[in-house]
Amino acid sequence: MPPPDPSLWIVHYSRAPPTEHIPANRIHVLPQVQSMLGQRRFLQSQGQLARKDFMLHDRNNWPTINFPPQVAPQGFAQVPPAYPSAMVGRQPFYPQPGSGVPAPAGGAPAKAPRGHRASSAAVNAATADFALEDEDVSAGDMMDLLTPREVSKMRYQQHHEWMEEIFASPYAISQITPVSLGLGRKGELESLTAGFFDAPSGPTSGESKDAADSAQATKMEPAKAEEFADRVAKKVADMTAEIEKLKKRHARRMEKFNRTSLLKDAELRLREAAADPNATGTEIWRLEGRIEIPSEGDETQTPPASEPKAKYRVDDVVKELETSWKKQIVPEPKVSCVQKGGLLEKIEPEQKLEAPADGDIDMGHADSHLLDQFGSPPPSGPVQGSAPIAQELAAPAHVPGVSEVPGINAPAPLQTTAAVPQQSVTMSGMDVEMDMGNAPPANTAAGETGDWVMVNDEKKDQGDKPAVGDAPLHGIETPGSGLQGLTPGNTGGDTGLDGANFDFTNMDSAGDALAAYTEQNEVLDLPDLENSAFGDAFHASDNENTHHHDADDMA
Amino acid sequence: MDDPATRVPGQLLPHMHLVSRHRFPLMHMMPTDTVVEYLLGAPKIVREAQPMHWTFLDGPQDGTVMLTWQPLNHLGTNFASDGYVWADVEQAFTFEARGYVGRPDL
Repeated sequence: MPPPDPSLWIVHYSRAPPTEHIPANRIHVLPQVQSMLGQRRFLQSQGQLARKDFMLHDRNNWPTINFPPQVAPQGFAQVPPAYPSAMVGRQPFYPQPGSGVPAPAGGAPAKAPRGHRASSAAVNAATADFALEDEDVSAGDMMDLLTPREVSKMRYQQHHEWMEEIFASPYAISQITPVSLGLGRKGELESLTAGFFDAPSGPTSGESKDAADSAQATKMEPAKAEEFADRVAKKVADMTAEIEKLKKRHARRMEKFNRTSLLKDAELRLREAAADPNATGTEIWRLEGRIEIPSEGDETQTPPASEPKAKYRVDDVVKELETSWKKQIVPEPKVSCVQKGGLLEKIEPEQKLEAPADGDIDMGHADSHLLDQFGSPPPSGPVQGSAPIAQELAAPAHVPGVSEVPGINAPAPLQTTAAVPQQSVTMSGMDVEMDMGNAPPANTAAGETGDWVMVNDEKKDQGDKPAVGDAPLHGIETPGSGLQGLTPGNTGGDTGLDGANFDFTNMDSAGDALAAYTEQNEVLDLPDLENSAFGDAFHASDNENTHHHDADDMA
Repeated sequence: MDDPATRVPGQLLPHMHLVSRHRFPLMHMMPTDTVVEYLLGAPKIVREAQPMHWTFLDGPQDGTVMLTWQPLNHLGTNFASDGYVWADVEQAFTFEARGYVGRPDL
């Protein structure tokens, strides 16, 4: 059990026994009690004391309560003597307000709502918030203490005092000049009032201009007023004009804006437009309005697809746009030639017509096949490697191959076709090129052994590879690769391919291989082949061909 | 010695009470045993259970029981004003209970 604390009291209020009841009017109120009640009344008039809880032994949180600063209560001075007996041995009495420990963190306690200040019948909470240091709004301001009647009365008096300044003045109204009304302007409107009214000026020039100000706070001359009115009217007109201008600009801008949105609108409508929304048909190409015809036997006949009907006509949309934009709408091709460039025009179609006339096989056809199917890779390899017939054609067939070598990396058909005619021109004189028509079989051969093409592609220097005797496939490649040696001279399209000047010396292996051509010549029954400048080349290919046959046999 | 009353202006002290937040039941008769019991429990209450706060008393109703801290160093045993005008002089008596001597004021 802790030692009892004599400072802790239990306070109990209870009604006295009836025998001790004393009528209120017989209670003698001592002066001390009077002053005590007065002090209480005063303190209660200061509002409520904000409640701050703290533990009794937590001295850091002991609140500091300040006496209301604005009052010097009369009755408080003589209070201390009221308790003479209690003063024994106590600590310094009555510390100066505010000199004690500073108020706990948070400063002024939260302001309690002020309410029943007048009726302080509340049991526990009626005291002043003495800790407030700012304006004591918790106790209300002056307006809280005023009744509406008082406010009205004060206002009435004030107004009358103001009016009296005028009406009770010994001066006539005409003699009274008002103070400067501050009509002067700075900034945007300075030009308007400059010269008539003084604009409020900064404190720097204020001192010197004071005299002038008072002097100028006079009545304005009528003429000057008129001038000022004119200036104002002009200014207003100017501003109105500017407003109009801005409005016009805005309208233009909006129109432009709307036209742009018109484009977008039309684009949206085009999605639902058709050339003729009402047209229908069974044609297969119809995107809209197509009528499905149920196929025979299709019993579960579905009703016509409920696709939405086109709402607009394309022509209408176009016309509308054209009128609103005042511009013509033209179809835009996906590819348009900006500049033709240095490539030569294609004159092949005539050749195609001539070639078949000379030979029994459609060379043009062969050409097209070669070009179509092989694109960039030189077709010569396949040509040689395939049927025996193709062997004799090796040289002629090489020629397109050669022409295509430059195009290996650029598979555009235009290049090859552009180069081909010139070679064929050369060949036409030799009666050889007609047999190029055998290329189609070559194509099939190429289809069988497609990897030849690849070899030709990657290795240009395979000419020195032992064409004969090696792997059959290699032997087949060699003519092609040897021919590729021609490419430098051939790129121009007309240099190395000129008729008899066609220089095959570059293709070493191919030349050797062609030496054996004659062996198969009879079989092929090619006319005038011996006379041709390509004869040797053919022999070579023939030779190679034999090997190829070997390869076939082996296979 | 510092105590909570030193932070309160002397002019206010005769009107203010440091009251514990602890709530006692309202009772119209209070036996001394109960008072002793409350008093013995008071140190524990103020030390651990409930905070105190300064407040005015304005005529508490009959039956009110509360635990207060009396600034003995400043006011002695004079109870600060509570809104009542006491008609008669203070009466006191002592009694003994559980080894303690009580001296209630009436």
